[in-house]
Amino acid sequence: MEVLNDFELTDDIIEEMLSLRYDEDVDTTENAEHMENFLRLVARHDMETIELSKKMIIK
Amino acid sequence: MYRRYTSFDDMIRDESLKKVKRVIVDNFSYHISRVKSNIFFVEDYIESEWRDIYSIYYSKLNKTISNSTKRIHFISEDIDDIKLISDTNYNGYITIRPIGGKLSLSRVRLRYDCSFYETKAMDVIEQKTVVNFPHISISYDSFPFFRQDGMVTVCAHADIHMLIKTMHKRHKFNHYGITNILKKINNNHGRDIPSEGLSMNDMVKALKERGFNPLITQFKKGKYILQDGEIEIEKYSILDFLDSMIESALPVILAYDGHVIILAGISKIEDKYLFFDDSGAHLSKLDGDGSNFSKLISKSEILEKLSFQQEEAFVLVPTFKSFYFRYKTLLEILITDTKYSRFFQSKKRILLVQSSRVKQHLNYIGIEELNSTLLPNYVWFIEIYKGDKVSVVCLVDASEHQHIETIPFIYSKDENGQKAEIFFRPKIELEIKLLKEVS
Repeated sequence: MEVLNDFELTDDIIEEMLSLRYDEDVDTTENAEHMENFLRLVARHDMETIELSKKMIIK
Repeated sequence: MYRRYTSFDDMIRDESLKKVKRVIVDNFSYHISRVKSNIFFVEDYIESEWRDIYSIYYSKLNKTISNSTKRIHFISEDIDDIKLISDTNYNGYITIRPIGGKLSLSRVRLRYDCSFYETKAMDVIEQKTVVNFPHISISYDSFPFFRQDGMVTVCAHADIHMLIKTMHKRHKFNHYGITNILKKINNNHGRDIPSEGLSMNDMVKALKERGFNPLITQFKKGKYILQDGEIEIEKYSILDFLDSMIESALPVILAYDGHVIILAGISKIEDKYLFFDDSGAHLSKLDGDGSNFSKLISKSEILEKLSFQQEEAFVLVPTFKSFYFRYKTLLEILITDTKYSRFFQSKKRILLVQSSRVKQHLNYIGIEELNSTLLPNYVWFIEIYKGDKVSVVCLVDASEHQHIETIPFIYSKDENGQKAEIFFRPKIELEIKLLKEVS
């Protein structure tokens, strides 16, 4: 597990997390663009995986 | 007919097992010495795997070979009658195929505990093995180890067989024997017998056709890397993925260098994985506690091995039908979205769990918030730690669309009828257990 030394899960942060609520008004455009890019790369990665998986012979 | 021996060497001599002594000792002595058995019962045994392989190839040979195996039972107490075998003194069994040479070990069903691997604590995928004697049926935790014969089956078949057995015993999936596994595999690159191996793609197809919903992921040098033009974007370590899958009690096939091994357990205290290797080709080259067929290996050792690997490594894991929201998408949002990223920099566990199990578990520890909430069949169950204690738990819908923009947290109605994300702080220490703790 990755544990960053300079990060501490303080009570304040936990409280903030617990108080998070779904917000219909949040602008998700930036996230959406990022996700689109991410999924495009994943799709290409998956295609590459399929092609490579045909070549690796297990015995 | 059971024959009793008080020493391993006597048994090897009298049962004409000299030809296989080397393979047993080479691959197995670490565990033989820890089984702490001083009595061995040997019987002729009808083993389904051997019968399948025998009918496909060995029955056609120009010499007579038995269609039965020899089963060696390990007993820790000094008893002279088979009827005195009990739950407490029985340590499991191995079977020997009657084909001589180095390919003779067939099944290994030893009762494992921590002393078996010299570890303080270990979690493994819970699988009961049942052994029937004339007077008693003994059920104990083991792993369905099966060794390739090198003609009909190679490591790819052996690992598919172990994975199917595990999913059958632990998650109630259908069971398919060796004949069925071999029947539908469409090998496009060579002869079936002697087998010239399967491609990873053949393995995926074999599992997919039988309803195991296989997920194959490619890792380069131990990392999940996406290539955007000439830029390589490193997303997460293979260890994160292996942790998540094995803690979800899913057996994982790890493929590199043209050979596969299977991950079946984890020691969280010591940061180690429990691997099984049907031929010992990979495990013999890795340091760890155990024999070549089964070793507890540190995560850093695995990562180092894969880091120097020129070829890609593949991770093949069976999943559930109604699971769609993949680990990589979940992790991508958790890491990228500033709303969540700093919380998820902390130590965490991410498990794929049946929601009914989560609900029951939460009730057991006194959290009833989800009792009237309709949940999807599977959820990602995320624990965030503060030090060694679980601080926050959240649930994510594992049936969501992959093109979603934000994390599909499970929603419930709050007191104002509004949608509210379920984050909650455990009232008592919370850690969901899907693996069986071995003591």
